[in-house]
Amino acid sequence: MANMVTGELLAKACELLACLFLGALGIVLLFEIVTNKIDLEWLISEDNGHASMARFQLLVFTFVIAISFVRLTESAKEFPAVNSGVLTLLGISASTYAVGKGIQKSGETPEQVAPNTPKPEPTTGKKGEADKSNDVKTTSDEGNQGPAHAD
Amino acid sequence: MSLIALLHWEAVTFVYSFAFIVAYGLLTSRINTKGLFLDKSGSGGIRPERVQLLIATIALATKYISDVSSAGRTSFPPLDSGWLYLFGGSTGTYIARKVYERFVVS
Repeated sequence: MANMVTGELLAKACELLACLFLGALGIVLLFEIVTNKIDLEWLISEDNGHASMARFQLLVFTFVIAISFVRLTESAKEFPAVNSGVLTLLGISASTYAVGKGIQKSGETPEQVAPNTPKPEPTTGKKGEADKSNDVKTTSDEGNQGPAHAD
Repeated sequence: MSLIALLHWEAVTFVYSFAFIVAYGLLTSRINTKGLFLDKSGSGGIRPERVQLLIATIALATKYISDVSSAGRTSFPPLDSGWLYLFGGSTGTYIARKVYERFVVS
């Protein structure tokens, strides 16, 4: 009897711990996003710095499904079954992104640098060269005249 | 407060706050949207297939959220074939244009 009570208490404690952990994780993530420690500036951008329709579409439908899931779970008091409509919606959206990415990668030049790529640490005595190199890449990105501008 | 209520509160707060932050970032350009409609092959003009894909995406997303929000619903709403044809056609046009630009024009 005592073992059963202890087990139940332990289970409740674990559930509470899991709830608190998820809540704390959510708060930390939101805080870091708001304070720009997690940078969302290039969330829907491609490597060439331009925003991508396929990424934007995937973002919109991800939020649509997430919000729907929360609302339906609230009203049904259980996880809703994922039907073919949801799968088709996300499937088309994700396929668009994947195909677009494939087309882009098929014509990409190796010199392309993502705008959010961390700049390399300048080595001692060669700082000027490193800065010059970064400047050239930035100018090239802004000019945007390479062959690989698939999105 | 029960654990279920706590979990529900956490999920609602996180999803809606994150959606708000992203929407705010898009509207205030904190999230880069430069070139969303533009031709990437050099001319710099607005591409109609991108505009129609955006309109179709927003229309379908609004319709779906509206269906989910209707009273008494406890499961994901089915998508009728008309909306799927519309969305598939819109996406297909966008992809076809990209393929054409990549493999035929260049």
